[in-house]
Amino acid sequence: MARNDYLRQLGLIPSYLRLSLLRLGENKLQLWGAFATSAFSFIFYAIFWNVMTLQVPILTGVGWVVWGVGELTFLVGMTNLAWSFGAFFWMGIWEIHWYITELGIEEYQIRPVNSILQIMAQNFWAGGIIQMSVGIIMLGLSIATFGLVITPIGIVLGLLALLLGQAALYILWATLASLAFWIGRNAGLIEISDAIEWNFARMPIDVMPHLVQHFLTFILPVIFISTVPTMMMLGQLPLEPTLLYLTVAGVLVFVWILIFNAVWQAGVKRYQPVGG
Amino acid sequence: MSSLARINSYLAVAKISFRNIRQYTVDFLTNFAYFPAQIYALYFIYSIVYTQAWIIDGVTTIGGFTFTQLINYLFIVIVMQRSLPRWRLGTEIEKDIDRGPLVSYLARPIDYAGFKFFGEFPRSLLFLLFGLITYVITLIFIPLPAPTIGNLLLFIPFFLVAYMIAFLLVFATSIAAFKMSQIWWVRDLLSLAMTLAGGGLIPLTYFPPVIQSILLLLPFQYCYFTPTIILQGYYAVTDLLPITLISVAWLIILYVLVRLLWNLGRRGYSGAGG
Repeated sequence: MARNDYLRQLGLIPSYLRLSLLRLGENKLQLWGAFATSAFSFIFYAIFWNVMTLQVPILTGVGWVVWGVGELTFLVGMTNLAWSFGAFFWMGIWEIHWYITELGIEEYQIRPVNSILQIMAQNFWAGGIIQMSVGIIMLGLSIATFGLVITPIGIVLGLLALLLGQAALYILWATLASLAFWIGRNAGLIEISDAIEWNFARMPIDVMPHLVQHFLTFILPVIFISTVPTMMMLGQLPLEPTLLYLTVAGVLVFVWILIFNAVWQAGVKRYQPVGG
Repeated sequence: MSSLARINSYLAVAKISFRNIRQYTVDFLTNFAYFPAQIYALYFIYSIVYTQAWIIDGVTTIGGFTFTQLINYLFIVIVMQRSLPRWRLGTEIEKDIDRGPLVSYLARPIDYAGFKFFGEFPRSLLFLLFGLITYVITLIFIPLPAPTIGNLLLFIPFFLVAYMIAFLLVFATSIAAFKMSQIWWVRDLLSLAMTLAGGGLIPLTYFPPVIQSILLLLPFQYCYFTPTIILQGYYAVTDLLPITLISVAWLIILYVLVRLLWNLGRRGYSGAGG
């Protein structure tokens, strides 16, 4: 595909986002619902860490950060923020295996726009903005309540790590979902990796054993969802590991794009539309 | 329709539901890797908490649980969470109401709630069975305190009560689809409430006494906390009668609530198209 073609297709994203906003405007109750679930989810885990820190005031492990109740609450807010990005842009990734096995991808293939972009764009969820604002409020609250200090450079680096890590994670999921071309409905496979992400994202991964940390950095890069951005934003990560984490996240995105592309192309070749 | 015929039709629903599960064996079996994912995340955090509590205060028991007991608790609680109705059933009911298939159920001589209740039950039983098998296999490798046969037998009626309460909670919230579209957030809220107030992430005894006493009044604890504690044998026999009475009272309250909401929701509901 020519470079201009890619740019033209990416230029469609704002239109898809506008459509998503319009759809959301039709059901305002959903906005409040998104707000309530985000806030409750934050409160839920803030309670969890508060109860934990009632037993021991700080968690220390093999990492750089000493996790007190403030840092842990910030970490939960960061998870909310990360998931709001996920809800906003990446929801369609979860649907790929569904499209392959049940809905069909042929109608997307005949249009002059990348099929994956279409599936993703159809599932853009503007309600993510609400979750995002809740995440930001929660981060602000934890800073104000616990006297945490964040730096502008820390924010930039933290967000960069988050966006790269999240992209790597979602492209990995897209690859798993594309295995539906061969093994049919495979929600379970995605659910396993999602379960790992869901359960580990709200934990300070750097206090866990090295083997777990390596798995959650190189294999399933959950560490970039909240632990690394939190450490960077709170300015608690030295320069060398900061650069190392950013490099790893960038390389992971690149590698997973290559793998996904190969799997998708092979799958499309073997795909047989069903129904009529 | 006679009672016998009605029971037979519900059993047929359960059989069909069981067959449908078998169609997706790979998908179904991969779900069991879910247990380790959940248990490991909590295992690492709790191991740090217990280690530091021991180093700082010389404490080995938190909220009435030693570390081994807690891991045992979490394992069973996760099996319960995977087994009992939650998100997926709620989505099904919402789709039935919102997109119209409910009309075809209403035309049949079968109660929709009963249909869903018996349709979901085989799935819950299978998840419980596979979860318990995973648990028994784990006991071979990790020396966790295994439940006694007596506790296992006592657990069965409490699992049934847990199933009914979870089903009624999910059903009651899904009925909101009569009045609103896109009620995923109602399900999310219920799911979070069930996990937190049901002891799905932290045993209720970890909470400060005031919060604990509030949580113990709610129905959620009968879904996860109570059956798990009973399987572990942490209840005195004298506690069983009040627990049974309160859980049955909650069942009745929720059943009445579901019937009221269902009748309210159905009023004015009509399906269009074909």
